[in-house]
Amino acid sequence: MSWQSFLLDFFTYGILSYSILLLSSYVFIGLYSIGEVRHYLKKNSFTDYRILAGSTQAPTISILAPAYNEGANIIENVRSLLSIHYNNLEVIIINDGSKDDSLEKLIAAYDLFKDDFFVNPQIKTKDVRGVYKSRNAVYRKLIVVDKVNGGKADALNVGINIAKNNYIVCIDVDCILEQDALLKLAKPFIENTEERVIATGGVIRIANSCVVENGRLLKVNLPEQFLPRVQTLEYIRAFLLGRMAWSRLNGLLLISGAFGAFDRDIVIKCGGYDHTTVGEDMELVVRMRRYMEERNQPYKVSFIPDPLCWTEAPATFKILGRQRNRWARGTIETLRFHRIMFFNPKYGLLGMLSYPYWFFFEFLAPLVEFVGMVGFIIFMLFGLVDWLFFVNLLFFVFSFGFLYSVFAILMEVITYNQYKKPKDILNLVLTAFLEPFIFHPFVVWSAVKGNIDLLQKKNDWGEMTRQGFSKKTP
Amino acid sequence: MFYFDVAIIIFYILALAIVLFIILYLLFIHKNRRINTEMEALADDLVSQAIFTEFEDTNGLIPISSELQKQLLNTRFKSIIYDKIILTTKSISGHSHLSLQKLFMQLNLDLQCLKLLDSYQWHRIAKGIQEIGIMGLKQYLPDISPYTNDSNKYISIEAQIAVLKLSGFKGLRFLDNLTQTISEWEQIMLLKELGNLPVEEFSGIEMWLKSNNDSVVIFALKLTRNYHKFELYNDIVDCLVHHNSKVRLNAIHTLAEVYNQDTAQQLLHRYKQEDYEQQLAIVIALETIGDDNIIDVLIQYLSTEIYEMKYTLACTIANISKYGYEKLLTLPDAQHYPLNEMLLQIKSEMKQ
Repeated sequence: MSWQSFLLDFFTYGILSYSILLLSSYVFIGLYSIGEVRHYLKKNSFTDYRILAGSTQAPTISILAPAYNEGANIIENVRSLLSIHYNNLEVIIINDGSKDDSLEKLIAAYDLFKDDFFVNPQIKTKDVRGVYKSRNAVYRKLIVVDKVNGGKADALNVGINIAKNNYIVCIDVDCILEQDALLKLAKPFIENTEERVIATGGVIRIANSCVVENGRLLKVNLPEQFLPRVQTLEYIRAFLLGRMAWSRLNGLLLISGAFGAFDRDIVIKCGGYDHTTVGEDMELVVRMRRYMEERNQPYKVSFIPDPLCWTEAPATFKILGRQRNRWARGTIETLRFHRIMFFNPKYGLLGMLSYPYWFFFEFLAPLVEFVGMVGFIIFMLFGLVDWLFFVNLLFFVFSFGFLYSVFAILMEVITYNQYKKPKDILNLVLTAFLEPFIFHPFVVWSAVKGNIDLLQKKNDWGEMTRQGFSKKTP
Repeated sequence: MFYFDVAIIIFYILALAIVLFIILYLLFIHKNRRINTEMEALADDLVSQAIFTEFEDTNGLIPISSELQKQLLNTRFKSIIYDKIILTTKSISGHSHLSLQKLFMQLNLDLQCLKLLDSYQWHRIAKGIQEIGIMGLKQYLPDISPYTNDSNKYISIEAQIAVLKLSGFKGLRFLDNLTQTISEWEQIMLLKELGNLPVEEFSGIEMWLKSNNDSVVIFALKLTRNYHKFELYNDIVDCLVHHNSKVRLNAIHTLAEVYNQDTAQQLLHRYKQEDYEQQLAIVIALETIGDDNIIDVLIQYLSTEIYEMKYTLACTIANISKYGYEKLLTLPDAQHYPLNEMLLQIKSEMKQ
């Protein structure tokens, strides 16, 4: 056997073994999520969330919404947050040194005045220029903070310093929340008697092509453009299958930065959001879990399959590339910060399963795929490729991916059924078929670029330009 | 290669089968929606008729047309009318509630509730119990009472709420022997249910305040607070030395509402022995029940380096009386950070 053949076999069977492990984990996740979703839906059929809305005993919540150059829609967005029907609530908008007229618009619209306010510096942040409250009693729940620009993590930390309630809900200010989102997110904190729930998250849905008016979602539509549509499919897979399975295992490492609730006391004890990473949402959850593991305190990070929050997904490859690049960098940074947990039994399931999974199958997967493609091209140039094997492997992976996506669509249809028309379902199925040829290679390349950028010490967010939601036509 | 080929074919066939299933499922739902719409209209008519029927004129029965009699033989229609009655009953009371109850019994739908109790599936049992409570079927109270201490918390809470609906405050006696933990969420649901009932005297709190089940003690403290049971003052004070910190916390909250001239001193006495969370609660409680006599003691604690506690102490001192705020202004630290900024905020809040 020549060394070239040996190398080819090693390479081929290595990729094959990795693929089988990866696909097996997807099968496990897909099947394991079913039980959790079913249990949640059955439990939900009894629950009257309205009880929480008006109860004085309900958990006290502070919504933290950082805003940077959101002048175009900020008034509407804040109005939709203030219209949430929940008794024990305060809404804190943190103006992160916007260069536009976001603050001026807020001051005018909500009759704000600069108040004397002691900002407890529990977490170190950039300077706060002022804290504003409204003269109008109708807006008594609103606090607006003006600060020196420091990034999303820093803005959230300011919000944490100012918040007075037991739980914080961190959201992107342009996200649209379902009316009962807060109620559903709050309930896990008070219904678990065996473990302390330290964080909860919900499903983020894609709002592109949906009809939105006054910060409220009026009609759900499947995105018309391909890129947001394929991300819809991706989010269904990730949230309905992936996160539900991990939540059932109590091994969830990530709560979306767009919408998540946290135990404020634990967040402060952990030191708040880390502003040195672009993956501050994942890093905080991992740090909070690590904190609880190190103190041997029973805890849970919970996840809710209800669609709670709608957000705009990137519609161009440029913006999508920046987003995926940042996600890749954030994942690597988090894994690096907490590498002590890797296969460390002291951290229980977190160290022995969650962290290794993320390392091997979230961080390494795009790199393995990329190396596989490069290797294939090299072996092809040397005339060493077993074409039959290669084509079979490719079809094997494609067909599994297609099946997995279709299974995710089935789960979506039999649970929340947001896209009711058969035409939309067929559109999603077609999207699933096209995904491996158009979307997936781009995402892999963006992740690889993220790795390269990190090695080159690039740590910016990149500009995430948004198009805005569709308005109701009169 | 053979295995690859087999796997590929299986995957694609499965995917195709799922897609077909989805399409058929959506078409099925769409078709059912159309049929259900017609049946729901009939069900709406029947429910409306029941609500407006004067039973004295009809010998206690709701007149049902022959067309409706035929429909009632249809399982789907019966299920629709069942759900419709339950849903409507949830949001009404008084004579209309009684009318729907009569209709429910007349159509023998109570047997459907009972049937659910025999299910092996927990969510069906809980549903049946819930619906017995909603419909006010007192005759089935003995059937659901044993579930109040069920190991499945979804069943037990539905049973507890249903028992309250059916027997009022007397139904709280399930707390006597409760071994399961009542979560905060369940306590909120129970208190909400009690809030819907006409207030009546009830006994047992003194026993629940001494329960071995800490969650029962906490709930009893909340009841004491909500219903201002001043006669249980000494029992509440006893809870200040409970081994469970959450019980002690709730005892402090309760003493902020159920207090006498000694309470402030009793809480101050506990302060140094308590954990941080309880200390904070004590300081907050003293804002309501404290007087000028405790101001100097509180000022001693102001030297804490924990800013949250410092601010809370300053707030309490300032709000106890005008003397308190003036005393704070005379302190040496009042001109320095952080107390100076805290005092500005407190002054601003006092103005508002």
